[in-house]
Parts: sequence; C-alpha cells; structure tokens
Amino acid sequence: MKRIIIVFGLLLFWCTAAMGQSKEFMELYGKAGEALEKGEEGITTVEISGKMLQELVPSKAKERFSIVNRIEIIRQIKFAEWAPKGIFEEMERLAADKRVYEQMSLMNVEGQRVAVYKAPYGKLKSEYLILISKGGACLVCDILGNVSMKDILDLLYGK
Amino acid sequence: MKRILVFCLMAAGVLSFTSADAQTLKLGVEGLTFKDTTYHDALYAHSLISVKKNMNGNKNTGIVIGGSRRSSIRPFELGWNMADLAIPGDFFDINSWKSTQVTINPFNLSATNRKGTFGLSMALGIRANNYSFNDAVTMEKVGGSVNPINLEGNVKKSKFTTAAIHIPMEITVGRPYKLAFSVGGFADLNFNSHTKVKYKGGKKEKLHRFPVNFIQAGFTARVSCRYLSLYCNWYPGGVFKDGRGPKMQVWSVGIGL
Repeated sequence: MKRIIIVFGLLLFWCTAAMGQSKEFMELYGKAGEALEKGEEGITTVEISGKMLQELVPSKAKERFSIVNRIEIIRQIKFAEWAPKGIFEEMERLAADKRVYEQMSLMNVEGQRVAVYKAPYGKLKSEYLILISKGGACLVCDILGNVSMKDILDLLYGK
Repeated sequence: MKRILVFCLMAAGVLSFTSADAQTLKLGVEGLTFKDTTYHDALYAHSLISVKKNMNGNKNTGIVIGGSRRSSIRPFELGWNMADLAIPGDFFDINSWKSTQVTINPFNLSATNRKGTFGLSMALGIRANNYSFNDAVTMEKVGGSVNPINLEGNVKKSKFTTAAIHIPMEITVGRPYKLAFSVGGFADLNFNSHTKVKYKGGKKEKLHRFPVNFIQAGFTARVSCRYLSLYCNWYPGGVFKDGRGPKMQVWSVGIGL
C-alpha cells in the first residue's frame, strides 16, 4: 500500500509540474475582469479557446496546419477610447519587463501602433503578447499555442 | 452578464461569416475579427517591422523550463548490467551481454540557462533490469532470504528481473543535442521482482516477490552527442536487502536514444 501511495504521489507531482502561462499577464487579465464586474465602462475581456476558434472558422480548421488548429487560447482586453487606461499602461510595463517577455517587433499596421512580445511556453509553444493602439482605443491580445511570428503577421494583415 | 453579451455578439458576428468561402482572421484594435477578404501580396511584403530582439544583450540570463529537447536524459535507453560481487564466486553469476537494462522515460523536464548550455535534467519513467544467469541456476526465497537452486532438465534461459519507476536527475554542461556531459543520480522504486526459467520445449516457471531494495539509488555519468548518448550507471547499494541476498554492486553501461 505504501508503495502505491508513493508512486501515486510522484505521478501527481509530475502532472502538476506542468508549465503554466505568464502569471503576470493573468494577474492583469484578472484585474480587467474585476474592473468589468465593478461596472467600469469601456473595458471588455474576451476569452476564446482553440476548440471554439475551430468551430467558429470551420473552413480554416479543415486545413491541417492552419493557425486555428495551433492556437490553444486567446485572451483579449479591449479598451474603448473613453475607458481608463491604467491596466493598459501596466500591461505595457509588463511587456517591457525583459525577464518575462522579449520584444519581437514594433510596427505600424493600417494606422495602428502594434507591439509584439514573445515568451516561451512549453517545449514547442509560445506566448505572444500583442499591444495595439489607435487614437484612444487600445487592445491587449495574448495568444498561446504553437504559433510563430509569421502567424502573428498573417493575423495582423488579415491573411 | 456583460461578458456573456459581448461573447454572444462576437459569436453571432463570427457565425454570420462562417458561410463564406474565404474566411479570414484579422487582429486589430477592434480585437480578433473574422473577415471574408482576399489577401494582397503587397501587404505581406510590408517592411515597417523593426525587430529589437536582444537589444540590450541581457537575454542570456534567466531560466528556461523545457522538455526533452533541452534534457540530457533520453526517452529510450538500453544498457547492459554487470554485477560486482562482494564475495567472489557467490551464486549471482550473470552473463552481462544477456543482462539488459531497458528504460523508457516518457516524461522529461529540464531547467536550463537561456543558451541551454548548463542545466538540470529530470525525468520520470519505467526501468526493467534483467540479470541472466550463466549456469542452470535460479533463486527462491527461503525464510526471507534468497537462496540458489540448481536446475535440472534442459534449461534454455534463467533470469532474474526487477521492474521499477525510474526517477533520474542530472546536471548537464553543454547542449544535449550537440555535445554535453552530465553527472547525476537516480532512484528506482521497485514494484516487481521475479525469476523466470524457460525450458527447451516451451515450459516456463516464474517466482515473484524477492527481498529487493524498494529504493535502488545510484549515480550516472553521461556523454550526449546529437541523437545518441552513452551512459554509465552505478548502483552502490546492490539489488537485494542487506543480509537477505548476495551482496554486490551493479554497473550498467548503455546507450540512450
């Protein structure tokens, strides 16, 4: 019995030792959720799983190597022009923290300022943090999955 | 409620596009949208990207947690066991070529520096150690101790096997898939031990539950080069519990793939 408990305990430890995504992002995402619950207008959070994405875009999901089959989850925080930008500014500070993210690019896409940051996630996967702003409106988008910078560019240019 | 509404609106908006032939995902300040447009090559060749990777040159610090790619411990290992008996001539006389060690490590974990040149590798797997006897001899448990039995008849093969949960941990210097040297230790948690005798003609005999050490700990040294690694294991504690079987040290050498 003792052996079974020890073996089971070890297996459990191994399963829980799995990798998690950036804690810092999730803290801020949680903060945005709290702001939403408090009724702060102009802030919206959206969470789309890879499975949901495959159901929403079935023609893309049919392609074996399509990005919709490689995305694990997308989390977005959208700020309207009039919304307070405290969380967005905190997100910018987090993105600039080189211990967590690596800056991949800073570009202008159709009049929007787009900054892309990357963090490793597991063996093959990556976490991309994308900050987009235009006028007063802003967006924070965090994409997890087996995606590359090319996939991100395709998304930004609507390929 | 707001979240549900937003999500429903988004889903409704998206579903209205699903009937289109050329569905396109687009990320902008409005969020992720689904469009039915064609892609222009001119946009793909956009050149306003300024990559600022490694701008400050401090990206080599920090720890990267990864899987088998950065680990020196390979998913499959095959080795050969050698017993160094404390009392020369004791009955545990094995044929090293036939005494194989098979290890499967499905779970690998590594913690390395960013360059992947120094780190810690860990794994969880299953290991089977076979000890094939040279002579027509096997073992039985008498009064809690292991005793040899001489076999009669046409013996084809006689061996002793232990099966264990294998937990190795190694410190690695170098890149395991280029060239790396590792030293470390392991713990094997034995959950099965048995003897097996095969006679010519197909008859088999098995005896289970021998007084083996539940935890067999040892040391490992390894050289890894590309897709191959050579390792050497040393079990200083031997196989059997103190005073209940032949006292020995076990050495294993093998390859990892």
